[in-house]
Amino acid sequence: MGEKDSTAKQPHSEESESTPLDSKMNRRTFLKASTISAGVIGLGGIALSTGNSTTVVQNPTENLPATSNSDPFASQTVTLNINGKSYEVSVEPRDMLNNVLRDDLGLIGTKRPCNRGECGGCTVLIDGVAYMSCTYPAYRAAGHSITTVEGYNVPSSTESQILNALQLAWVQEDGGQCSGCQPGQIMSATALLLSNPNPTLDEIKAGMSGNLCRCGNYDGIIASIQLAAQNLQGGSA
Amino acid sequence: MSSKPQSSGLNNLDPNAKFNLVGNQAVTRRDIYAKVTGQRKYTPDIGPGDIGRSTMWYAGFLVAPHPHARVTSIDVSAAQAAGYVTLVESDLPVGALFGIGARAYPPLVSSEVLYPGQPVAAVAAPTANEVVDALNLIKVEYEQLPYVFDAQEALQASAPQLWPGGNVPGGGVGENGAVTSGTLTLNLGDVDTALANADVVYEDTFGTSIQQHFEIFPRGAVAYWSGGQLTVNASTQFAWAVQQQLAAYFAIPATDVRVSTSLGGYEDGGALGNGLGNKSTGEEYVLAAVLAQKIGAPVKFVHTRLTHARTTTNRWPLSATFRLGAMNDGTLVAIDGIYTANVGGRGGAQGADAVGDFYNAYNCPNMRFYSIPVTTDAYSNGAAMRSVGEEQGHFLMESAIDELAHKLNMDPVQFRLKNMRQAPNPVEPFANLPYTTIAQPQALQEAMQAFGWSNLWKGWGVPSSVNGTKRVGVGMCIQNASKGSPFPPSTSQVQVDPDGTVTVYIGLTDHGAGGNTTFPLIASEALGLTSMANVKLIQSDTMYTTNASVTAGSQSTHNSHSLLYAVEDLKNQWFPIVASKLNANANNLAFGNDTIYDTTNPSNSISFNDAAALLTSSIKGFGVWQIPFNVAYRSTGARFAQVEVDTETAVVHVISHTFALGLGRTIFYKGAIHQMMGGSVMGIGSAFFEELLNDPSQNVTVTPGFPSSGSWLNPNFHDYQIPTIYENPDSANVIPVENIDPTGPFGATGIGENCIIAADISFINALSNALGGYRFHKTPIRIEDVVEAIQWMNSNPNGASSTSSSTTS
Amino acid sequence: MSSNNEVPKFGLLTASTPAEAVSLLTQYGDQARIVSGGTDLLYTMKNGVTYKTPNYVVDISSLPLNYIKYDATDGLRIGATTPISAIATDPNIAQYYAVLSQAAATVAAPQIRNQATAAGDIIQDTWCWYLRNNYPCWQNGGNVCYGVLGDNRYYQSIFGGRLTFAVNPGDTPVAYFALNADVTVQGPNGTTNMPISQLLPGVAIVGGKVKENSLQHNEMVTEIHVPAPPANSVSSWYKVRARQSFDFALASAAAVLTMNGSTISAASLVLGGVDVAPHRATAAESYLVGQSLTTSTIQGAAAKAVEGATPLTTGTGNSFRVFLAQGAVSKALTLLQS
Repeated sequence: MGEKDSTAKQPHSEESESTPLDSKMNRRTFLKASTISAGVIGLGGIALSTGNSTTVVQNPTENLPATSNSDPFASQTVTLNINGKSYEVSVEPRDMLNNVLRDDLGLIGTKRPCNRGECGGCTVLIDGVAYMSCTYPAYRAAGHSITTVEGYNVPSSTESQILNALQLAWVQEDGGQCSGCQPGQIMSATALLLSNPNPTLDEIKAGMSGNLCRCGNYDGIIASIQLAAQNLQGGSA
Repeated sequence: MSSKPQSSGLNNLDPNAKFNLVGNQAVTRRDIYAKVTGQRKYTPDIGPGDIGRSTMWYAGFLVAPHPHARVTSIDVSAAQAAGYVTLVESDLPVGALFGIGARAYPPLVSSEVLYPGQPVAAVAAPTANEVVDALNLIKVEYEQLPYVFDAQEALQASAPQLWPGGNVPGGGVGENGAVTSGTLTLNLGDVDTALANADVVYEDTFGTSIQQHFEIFPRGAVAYWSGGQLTVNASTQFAWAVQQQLAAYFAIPATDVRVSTSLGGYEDGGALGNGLGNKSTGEEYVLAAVLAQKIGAPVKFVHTRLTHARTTTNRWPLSATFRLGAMNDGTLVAIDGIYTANVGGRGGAQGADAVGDFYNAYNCPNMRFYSIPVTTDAYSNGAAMRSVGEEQGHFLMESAIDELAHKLNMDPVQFRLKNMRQAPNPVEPFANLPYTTIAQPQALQEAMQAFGWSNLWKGWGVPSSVNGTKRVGVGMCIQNASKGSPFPPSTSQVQVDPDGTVTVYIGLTDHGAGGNTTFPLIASEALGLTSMANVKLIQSDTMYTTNASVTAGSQSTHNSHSLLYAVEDLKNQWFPIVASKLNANANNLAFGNDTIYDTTNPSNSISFNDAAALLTSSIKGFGVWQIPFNVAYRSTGARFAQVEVDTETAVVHVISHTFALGLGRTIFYKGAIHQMMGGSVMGIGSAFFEELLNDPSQNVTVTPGFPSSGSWLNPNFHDYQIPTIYENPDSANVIPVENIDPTGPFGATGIGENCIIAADISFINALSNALGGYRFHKTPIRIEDVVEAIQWMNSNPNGASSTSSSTTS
Repeated sequence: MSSNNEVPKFGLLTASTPAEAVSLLTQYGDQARIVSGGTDLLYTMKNGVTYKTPNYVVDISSLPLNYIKYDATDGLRIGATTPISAIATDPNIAQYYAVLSQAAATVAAPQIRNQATAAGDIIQDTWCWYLRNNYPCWQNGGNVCYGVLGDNRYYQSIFGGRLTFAVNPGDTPVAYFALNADVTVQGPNGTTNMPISQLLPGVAIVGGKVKENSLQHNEMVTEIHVPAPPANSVSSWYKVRARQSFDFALASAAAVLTMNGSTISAASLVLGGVDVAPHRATAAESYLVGQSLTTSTIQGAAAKAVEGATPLTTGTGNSFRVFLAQGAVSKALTLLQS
């Protein structure tokens, strides 16, 4: 039971109250925290880095060389190219791309419904191909082009153009109810339209068969994809 | 300032009324773009920056992999030595219990484990990864105890007694298995005499299985303290209940506890990622707060798939033995039903709703029901899952009714038309309450026509078509379910700013049902607006909104009726100001088409925004609405389905279905249509896939540190199967029937639960028709059950009567 | 047993050649396992399956083993780390090895097929719920098969077993069996070549551990070779599963028939998902030779294919999968009926 403060404070106060226990965080946590506070992402969801520049986050206490097999358990610093921007982050071997996107970079548009590779809700594109980020090792994503559901306004990117067409179609055709699975659905749909701009119903089902929707909104999803495909075909491209 | 008008003149109940937004097919879901671009934060998405902090800890449960065991030791020292924070029962206040009455339990147990997956410890670590490290450092030893999964076995005197006083919550079982208390007994007419005089008596037993919500996002919370004040951002359908629970637990005033759905408190804030009845209160909301207090940092406590499936709530298995009596002309003369609910290790008394559905759905002079809840080790806690037992109850009821029609060799539609409760003047028979509205027989007739039943139905056990190994059958059912019970008053507010901005404050949330659109839509329509562009929504946050009851029970639309009263109150403050501007009588003013106008001279009007500009400061209207107690709220509808089965592979596919449901009035059109379709898809899961399983092996020697016989098998999305896009029906025809309910806003009623209720049995009755009339006796019907049906059909080419008994007197 | 879904700490070892990978496996012994796509191993580690969770992982995903080569004489060569999706979409495989193309297309779900690899689909662990949930079974350090005693409906053999009765879950291995593929295995002393049936013997005891493949702990599959298809051969695949995506086979059938006009001159018929390894239906193969495909001969072959089945009668029992296996054979052969 916390001691009652005599001054009236809003429970939502921004006051921080670190205790010795909380400040006793381990080194890895500190590294991760420093990655965030160095301004890669504002946690309100606004990207602070722009263009294709690399945001280099220096660890003030030590540099961890990514040499192979010297300390197999060591974290390594990797560069991730996400939605056209570069991020350097420190990752443990066991860090999945999903943990890094969400917990370290604040890119929470990529969801984590099952964290077991069983629902597709965490789907991202890596070099245009759909993967479940919860079972994709983060270190392996280094140097590859990653697109998340936040990547809808990347200049001169076909992926981005398809992605946003889908997102707009999702509004028109009511593609989601609770919408928890929908970022993953839309990333799978983006991969589908990238390789097949005008899919048949059967091809849509095949392409979307790795994404569960607990609301059962599959008819809305199908209609949304069909509308986006139609809009992209008839569009200026 | 607050007012409570007795009636709202704003509630337009004209069935032919023209609206701007109500029922408008062009209205899109307000929060969907934010959600599909990754901008909307659900509870699991909340990071430290969202709550003004720089760090956040992560928490998880250690659960027992045994069905029934005594905890002999818990050693958390290694985890603590590694810098992690642990909780066991002794760290928690004595007497701080969860659950219902005699089945209340502590959120972590150090004594007796009653089901596989019961939490024995909780940990917190500075990163999500390290939660697993901390859990792996805790050593728990157990002594195995005899366990029982089956409800009938648990009623035997020799069964392990799981709670003091026996395995019937609140009661016991006397001689010959007669339940002495803790049961529900309803008796109308003279069932025994009616059965003795019936032309046909049909007796059979049906049952369902343990199911789980498997919400796309698991339940969870982010908790943090500022001095003595606690904030919990929770994925909850009922922020006020969580607030009360936390205040009681920490013995602090409720005003020192803020609970919000997701981040809450800002426009369209609430986002749950499904609720389905599983997200009202929960242990982790409290434990996150305890850990946050101990650590001095925010703690995020989100269930994993395993702990979500096994330690939160479940849809309880319900079985029923029926004796139904009918005359040769198809008149239903007697219903005798004994329901047994397996409520799990810590569920309370359940079963009344399923019974209520039967006596509401059918008009029968002689009815008698018993309902027995039984505690077992099978799972955690039998509770609501998109209805409170009614989904199960409809399977039981509509299996038996269908088979009775089969015994009578009567068209199943004709049997329902003859016996179901319908207009005019429907009355709930036991408490003698008049219905507020009923959609029957309109729903059944419209659905039958749209489906083309008369062309597709070829008779009992005769499929509509056979093409090689593919057989197609058709089936139908009706539904009559509760749509919410009289909860305490629901409250809300509507504010208008001088710049014309409208803000709707309502303590309901949106777990996928579309409330984030429905609530502002109702207020906007009442305000005469043609667009919601300048309407904001603040919802489900105990700091900014007031209690509007739980977002559950298909009653949120009903409960948002308070918005009409809030607009009424707003009008009373605003119209006198506008009246002087228009030189009109305030009593003659009305909202309409983005204006306020004089009803005696409609050309004398002022635009909504200009009228707002007359205000010197914002004004807020307060609405209170109490659902009347002396009437019956029922949701009624009918379903028809066409199902294909391949007799070589036993794979079943729903080709099409038609679903007509009374919803009073369509408010948010796209949302209503998609809920009706989506709930039916969830019903495909219930019919053919979903069952939470325990290991049936017996008496394998226990290996310490590993799961034992009787532990879980499929607590994940791969093995607890829900429908994929391939299981989606090829076509779905959903028909909203607008049976105006005078107690609902604009005559509307809620539909959430009713979108899944009876879906499974409509598909199952169609499958039965495809397979020679084979009667399935349980859900889910897994592929092995379909194989059995095919083999039965192959050896009974004439579709002889199934295993169930039937006597003709 | 972890109730968490995070991966326990592991040491990451990377190799640039198969020999180097094998040398790391030799060096770390039982402590290390290979990860290629990772969809199976990482899942197992998230489940905390005690005897399957390594402390070290040798990542071979960057080895130059992602390739599909087709030559009319030599046949098909698939590198170990080639994604399943590449096998499913390769035009040569579709043309000459339809059974393999179709089997690959039915693996799991699209995202999994993009990540899971050719060798991984062969040597993945069984999906038996008991192993996956860390019950102390034969494959997990114990001395009992829970599947025999408990819920054996979906993932236990209907053709018997030894110690473990869990079925091999893969789809593409069934096609490889039907196509008489062989595999190249890199060991500490170089490479060896073996028929796939030798790699997947059903139950193997290797280094005192009960396994379903015969690899030593310091061996890895580097390549799968499928001989050139016989002239005038046709092939097909059918997978029976309850859910049409994200589900393993309850029974599958891979058929390769060599035709002389409408007469079958040679038949290769293998069942999947019903035995501890892909199950060659020899009686059905003999039965088919000399016949043409008619409804009657298809039914005859389907019945022959399940001759000798010994479904479990303990626990839940699994005889319904005899029916499904018959159905899979019938469907696969019907697809070849012109």
